[in-house]
Amino acid sequence: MEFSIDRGEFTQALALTQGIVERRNTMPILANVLLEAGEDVSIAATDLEIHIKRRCGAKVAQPGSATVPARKFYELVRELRPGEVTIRSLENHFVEVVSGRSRVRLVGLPADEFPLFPQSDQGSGDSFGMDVELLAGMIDRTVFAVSTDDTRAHLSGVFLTGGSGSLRFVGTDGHRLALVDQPVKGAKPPAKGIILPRKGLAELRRLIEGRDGNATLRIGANVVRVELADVALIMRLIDGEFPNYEQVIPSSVKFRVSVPKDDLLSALKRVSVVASDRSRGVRFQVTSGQLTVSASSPDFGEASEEVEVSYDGDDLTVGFNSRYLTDVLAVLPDGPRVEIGLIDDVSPGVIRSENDETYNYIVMPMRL
Amino acid sequence: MSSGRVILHADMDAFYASVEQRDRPELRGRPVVVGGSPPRGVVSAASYEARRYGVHSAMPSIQAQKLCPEAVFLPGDMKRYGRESRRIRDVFDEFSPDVEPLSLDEAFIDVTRSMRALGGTPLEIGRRLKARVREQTDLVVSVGIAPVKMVAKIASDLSKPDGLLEVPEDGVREFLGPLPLSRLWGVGAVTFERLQRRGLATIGDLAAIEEHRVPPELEALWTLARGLDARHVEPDRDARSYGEENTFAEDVADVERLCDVIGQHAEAVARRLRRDGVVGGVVRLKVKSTEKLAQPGKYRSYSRQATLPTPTDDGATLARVACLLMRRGDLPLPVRLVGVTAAGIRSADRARGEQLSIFVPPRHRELNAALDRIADRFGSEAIHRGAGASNARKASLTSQIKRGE
Repeated sequence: MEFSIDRGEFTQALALTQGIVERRNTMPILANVLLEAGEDVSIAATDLEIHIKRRCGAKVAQPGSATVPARKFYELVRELRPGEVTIRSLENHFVEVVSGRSRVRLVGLPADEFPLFPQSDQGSGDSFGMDVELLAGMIDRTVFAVSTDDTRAHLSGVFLTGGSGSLRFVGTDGHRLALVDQPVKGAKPPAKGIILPRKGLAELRRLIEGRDGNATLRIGANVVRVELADVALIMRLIDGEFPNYEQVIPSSVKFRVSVPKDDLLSALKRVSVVASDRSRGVRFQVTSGQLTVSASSPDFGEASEEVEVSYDGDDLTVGFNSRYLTDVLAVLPDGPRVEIGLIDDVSPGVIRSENDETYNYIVMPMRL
Repeated sequence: MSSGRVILHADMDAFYASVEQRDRPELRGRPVVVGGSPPRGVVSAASYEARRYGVHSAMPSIQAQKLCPEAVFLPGDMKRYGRESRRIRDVFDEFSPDVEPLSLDEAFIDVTRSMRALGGTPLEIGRRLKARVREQTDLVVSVGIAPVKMVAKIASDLSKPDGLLEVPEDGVREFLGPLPLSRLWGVGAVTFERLQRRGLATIGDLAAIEEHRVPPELEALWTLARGLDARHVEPDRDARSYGEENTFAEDVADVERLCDVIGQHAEAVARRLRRDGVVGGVVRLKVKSTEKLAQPGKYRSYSRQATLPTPTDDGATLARVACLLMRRGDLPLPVRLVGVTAAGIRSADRARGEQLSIFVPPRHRELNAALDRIADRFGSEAIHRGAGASNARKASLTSQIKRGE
């Protein structure tokens, strides 16, 4: 294998693989990236759950493949002088990197030990295209609510479902739940739904950052393949049953409070400073026309702030984890006002941007 | 420096065996051994008659049988002992709010704060405690009194049977001095050997080292040896863990079957958590492998633990996490013993600030309450949650259920 490539483009391409490369070192080959030279050059990395392959334009002198340690290789390429770099495989899996007057030989591993890139037609799943910005928005509005608790695998990913021409993402950690619906032309998500792992979505989100255009999603039996212009990412689906989320979404709420979003967010940020570190609990007291946000802890002190709201229902007091609220306020669709739907102090609250029904956030209270 | 603390260590004499002898007059005066049956069982308690033959607790039952063939072997009745334990506990509570139970039959009682209300000298309080326990239960307790927990425990132990021994603050070093180092908390076989190699044989030898010459790795032991241990009596609500375990009659390699048993243990642990009004934030799984250790009759144990996002008293949650640890596949199979422990215990009524769950309807709580009522009336054998319980019966548990850790 031998090819020459622009150092700048190559550095960028290698950067994409860094998040996936196995840190735990269970299989040495997973610490490496696979370089394949054919018509162009591709770089592949995997942790067996997520596979990523990035294609780059290059001058290929000798087709072939090789693997090199991902981190060392990236560190090296990043430090090379701008201009062209030549990479060739040598005997005993050594890989030589030549740029200007520097010459580096890296220890590699046999390319045929590298795990195969899963084939996309697995499960002959449907494929459909969607705008990457829309995809990014759906990820951003759900993935933050996903559980980070490894003992609850079925909650550690975003549930993807929907109907013909519409796509739904649901993320939950058992305390709050974020649900977003978007029309996507030609979308054919599996009716029974699939669970996309948190880490895979985070990598995907990194890939599409700052891009525009379309992404193609192909849903197989065990994997989802996402194809962008020059990158393909495959993630293994989480095997598990997503909880019956529809059942916990209140069909109607008793009280509706309409709050200016920025006022609420800044009040929460100030008041939660004195909330206990463990629970981060804040108290919502709604009375006619007014919401009082307060918190106190024996260790830090107490705080309260009044926010003007439109509300004319009964008085109600309910506790929430402030982080669960600031999390969602940061990703709510644009719009100056937030609607908070409440039932009582032990039933789920529903938060959404006023006049936007595509995004709903359900949050369970905290006992006061 | 005077700590002024008065700590009692109360330890029932041959508890299980004494309960049996009290309730069955024909056993009085005879050697009685309570524990798992041979070949796998272990002695939980031996009456003083049996101890004369060299039988002691934690000894394999098969060995006890050889030492004392005429002993009466009983499987034990944990339910009855548990009931008795609560009666004893009620007596302890009369003497102080600061009671730290160590097991069913043993507790630290810090009477420092209640001295004035109780009146009398520490020794008189100890005597009254013994009398009250006998009055209420017709059982005998030995009591050690000292300003330090470890010393109180050693004192009760040395005073047995039917003992009462006070080690006053200025007598602690003299009391500990001649005792072997193995009496110190935290000195196991390995440390003991290491200390011996340094030429130390007694607690006094260690305590005699001048402060500035104590090697850093011995500091903690040296503090104990001088009787300066400042550990407080930790009342019940902060008891560190609730555990249930069993030794199988035959080694078990089937993970599904182990998970069934884990589920039962988890339910039993959860029931005790609810009874005491506490929740646990850490789930610990313990297995004993078939790998023999150098010491005869000992096997290598492994434990794995996980921290819960929210502390719980729900058996299904404890079981789910413990089974997950089991299924992770990094524990050796087959196993001789499996146990589930809830740690990170705190009071459940600190539910203030409890984050409610979306998918756990309040009904779940009601279900647990109903399970508790049934278990109270018919015993915990009467009820198993959900599917898979049939296997559990086949697990033929030897009745070696260890409580309280």
